Amino acid sequence: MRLMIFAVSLLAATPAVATEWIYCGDSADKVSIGVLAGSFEFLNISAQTLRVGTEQWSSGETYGPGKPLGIAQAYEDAGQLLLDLSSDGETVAELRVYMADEGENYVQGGVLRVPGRGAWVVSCEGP
Amino acid sequence: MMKPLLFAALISLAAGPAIAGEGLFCEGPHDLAIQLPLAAGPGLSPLSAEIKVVGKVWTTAEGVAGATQITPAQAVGVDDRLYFDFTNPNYEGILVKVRLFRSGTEDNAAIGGTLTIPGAGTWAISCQFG
Repeated sequence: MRLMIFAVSLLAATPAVATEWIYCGDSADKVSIGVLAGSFEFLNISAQTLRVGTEQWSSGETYGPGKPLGIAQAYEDAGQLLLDLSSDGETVAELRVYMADEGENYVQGGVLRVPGRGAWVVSCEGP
Repeated sequence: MMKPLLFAALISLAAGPAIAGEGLFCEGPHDLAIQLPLAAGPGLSPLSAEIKVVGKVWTTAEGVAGATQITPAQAVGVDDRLYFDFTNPNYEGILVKVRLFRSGTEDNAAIGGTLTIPGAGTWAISCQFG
């Protein structure tokens, strides 16, 4: 697996808080999804990217090439991350991730479904 | 008995979270009333909200005397669950949590769960789309 992990500290437009990337991908590096989220008690996303094979989507050129990408719905609590991304009014990605910790281990794992293209087991890293 | 429009809404929920142009209305004890208009398109996205309970009001509207202003923080509808969180205009913490399960068949439909407002209370609620 070749998950890219890096954190970017930015000032979000409104309100001013630090944001960091969360990246999820499968073990074969077929798919990757990234969200730039603020450090709230809830999921506040300011940018997102999606890659399936050679197909790419992005919320802006600043974050990568591809078709337009928006947030359809998003939710996070202490144990789960639920995220649907949309493009041109259609859902293009459904991410369902559980977070768990035991001792010093903290893991984030789940599934990514891309309608019409497939579903993959993914693991996530960050923020 | 389930109304046709409600059943249609539940069917659309079963297919996905999009509830184009629908609104969620809930009620509970202590004259509890929730109005949650939802945006059209994929996903669950509140356009506004008004919550009344124990004689108090939480609303996304600005400048309502005596009310606490809130703004949508996050919302999602997956499987049989609907989650809504609201924060204050400065995005400081969660002020209102709505957690719902939905179950629907042609003969019977139900949407129910809880409303939690930290510091104010928590209540069981029943809801319907309209």
